[in-house]
Amino acid sequence: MKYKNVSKKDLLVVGIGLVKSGAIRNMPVGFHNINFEKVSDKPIIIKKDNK
Amino acid sequence: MSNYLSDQQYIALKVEAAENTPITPDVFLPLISEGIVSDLGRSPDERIAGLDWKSDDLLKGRHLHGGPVELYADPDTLGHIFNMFYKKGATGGDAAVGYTHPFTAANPKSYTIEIAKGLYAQRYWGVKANNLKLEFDNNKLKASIDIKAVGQFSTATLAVALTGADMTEAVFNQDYILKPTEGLVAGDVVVIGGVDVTITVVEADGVTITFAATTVTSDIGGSVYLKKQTYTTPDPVLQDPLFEGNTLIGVGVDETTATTASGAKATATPFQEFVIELKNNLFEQAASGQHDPIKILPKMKEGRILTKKLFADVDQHRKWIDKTKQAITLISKGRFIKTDRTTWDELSFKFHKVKLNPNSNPLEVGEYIYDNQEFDILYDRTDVKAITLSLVNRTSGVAYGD
Repeated sequence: MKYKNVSKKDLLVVGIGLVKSGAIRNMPVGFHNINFEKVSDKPIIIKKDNK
Repeated sequence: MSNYLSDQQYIALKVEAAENTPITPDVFLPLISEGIVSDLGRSPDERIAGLDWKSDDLLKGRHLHGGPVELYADPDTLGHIFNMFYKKGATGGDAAVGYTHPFTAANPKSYTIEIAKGLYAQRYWGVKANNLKLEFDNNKLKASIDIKAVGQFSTATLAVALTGADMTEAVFNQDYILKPTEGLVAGDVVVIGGVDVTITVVEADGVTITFAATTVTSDIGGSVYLKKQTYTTPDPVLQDPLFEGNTLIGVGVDETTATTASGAKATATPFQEFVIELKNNLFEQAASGQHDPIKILPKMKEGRILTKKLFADVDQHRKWIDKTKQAITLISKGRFIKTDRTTWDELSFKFHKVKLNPNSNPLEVGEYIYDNQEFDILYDRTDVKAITLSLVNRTSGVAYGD
């Protein structure tokens, strides 16, 4: 599961390492920290214009 | 069965936006030890009821929450400790030169704190510091605080079974208190039947939490617990505590003289031991309609300084006999903040009027004679204050509730 560091600080996560403010990282199952928000795992689909 | 090491737990905290309103802690502090407990005031039911045993149950009493926390006093941690003990004034400075936080002896901000205990998090809210002890522990400044809180959340029990797919709410039983969801906030994760559930709403009824449709199964009586967070620390890693070796303590006839004396090693006083003990004398206000205190109120503030230094002359003995006013200033510096090395982390603690109560010079075989001193910290009518406290660190006032 991907998580984004939503705090204004770069944070060190045990077992993961440094996560810069605003950066998104894969976190292990069970990860929970209020400074991070879950990011959808769904791929971003870019629709092409119909010409 | 799993076992858990203390070393892998944490204490986290956050200043409350509104006093006594819980908030999810997001600042993780380096902890030495904690012993906070909830005294639920329970006593055996000793009513005469034909038993051949003293009691067959416990009756509820008034709740009290509090206990000790020990931390090494690095400049940023110290800011939170002072913020829950004294009132912070307007913060000056910026990230480049450091932030200067003044504190006065007035009512502090309240905090929510969370302590990880193996699987679960023990949360207390409405937290203020009752006592604060600052001492040098083998050169490192250690802060021991004794906190009081208005309530706790850790675990709860389901009153209504959850039966599988698309569950959206859980209802807690009221064996503990009438509003067992107190302490939880939206965004918290609780574990029910082994499933992580993220709370979207803590309902006003005090017994119900709402969450997005989740598959979870648990019988009535199933346990619910607040999930502990994954520990994070700011980068760079933990700061050093302030050190005695970077601290100068000046003693003088008044604050100005003491502060001048603290400006150089040659004029500072070399103490063998130096301990500051401060008290807020917090009062837990009771209220009808709840078992917990409704508010934590400070009473009169007081403090004393315990010191030990080599006896050199009769000066301190005489000042004790004569009840002479003295002043003490402690300046402790940390790392440089500004790149040109003109500002640094700094604790400045000034005691405008102290008097010895008592000063003794005990004799022991093989030992030097010391001035063993206890100073009462007094209000100085000349300077119109008892203390001046200022902290320079790298944390903006926002983290302290600005």
